[in-house]
Amino acid sequence: MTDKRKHKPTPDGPGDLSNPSAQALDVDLDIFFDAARSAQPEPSPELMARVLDDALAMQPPAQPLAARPAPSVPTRSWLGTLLDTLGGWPAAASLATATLAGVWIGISPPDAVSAVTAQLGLAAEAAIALPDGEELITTYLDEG
Amino acid sequence: MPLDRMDHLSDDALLAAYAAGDQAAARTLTLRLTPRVFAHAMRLLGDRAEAEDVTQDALMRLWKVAPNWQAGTAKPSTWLFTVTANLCTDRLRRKGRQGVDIDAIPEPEDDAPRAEHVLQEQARIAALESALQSLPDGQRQAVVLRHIEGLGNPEIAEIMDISVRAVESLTARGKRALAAALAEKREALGYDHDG
Repeated sequence: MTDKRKHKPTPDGPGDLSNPSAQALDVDLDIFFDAARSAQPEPSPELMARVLDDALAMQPPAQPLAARPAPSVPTRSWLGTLLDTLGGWPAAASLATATLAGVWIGISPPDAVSAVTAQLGLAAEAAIALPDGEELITTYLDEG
Repeated sequence: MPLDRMDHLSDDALLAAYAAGDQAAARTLTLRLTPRVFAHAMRLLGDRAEAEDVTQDALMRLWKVAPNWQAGTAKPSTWLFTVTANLCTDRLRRKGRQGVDIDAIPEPEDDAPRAEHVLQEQARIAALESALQSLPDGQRQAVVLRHIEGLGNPEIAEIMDISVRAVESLTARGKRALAAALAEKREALGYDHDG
């Protein structure tokens, strides 16, 4: 971690130790740092007590469980649930449009629809006579 | 939560527990952080009473910000080193730097080998502390954080709010100045014998 700044010999010899910078390079700082690390200044018990007093005095009060906000559970309205079932707003809009169109065609059928129903012999006022249930069953049994 | 069950928790987690009102977290944080802050302040200021004031002040600020602490943004210890260094710098500027007389350091006197070793260690510590006080603030702080506190250059850069390259420069210049100051005491401090 620390550099060992030993004096580096030069080709001319060990260097001029009368030069302050050369002397500085000859000092191994590690022994000083090691000594300092091994003798870390310790805080007094009084200081520890003062710091703890501060900590407790400035500490926010403990929150009881009942006071803590309950985790919010997402709720859905009936409309939201219905929309989810149908597939969202676009699907609901399409369904509403189709429903309105059907109702409108029923109330006021366009000419094209009237022509088709006329060709099929289904006049708007004509009633289709259906055989009653007993007749249907007899016919079915007779035909096998 | 009992104290011994909190020892393994990170500073971040302890700070969150503290903010939630856990008194055991307050005790664990106090026991864990106070010695580090005090030692750092002591090395920067060289004065026990002032270092105690700074320590109490720095930790007071930590308790204050605890409820709003953003976990994962910075380590509480890094934040504390920054606050401590700033408080120390303010104090040093207010009172003005005092010259250090490195020759005033006591020299080993006892002939007993063990006692001599102890005295020699004490003399080295005193010499280093005196030499540190003679450095400019930035150099002193960088050298202490790097070589005594053992922090990495990126963390020191964060604490001092400078670049890693600037940290390297400050550390190198600080060590040269330290070596120059200590070279004058080389015989008395005995680093020629067992360094």
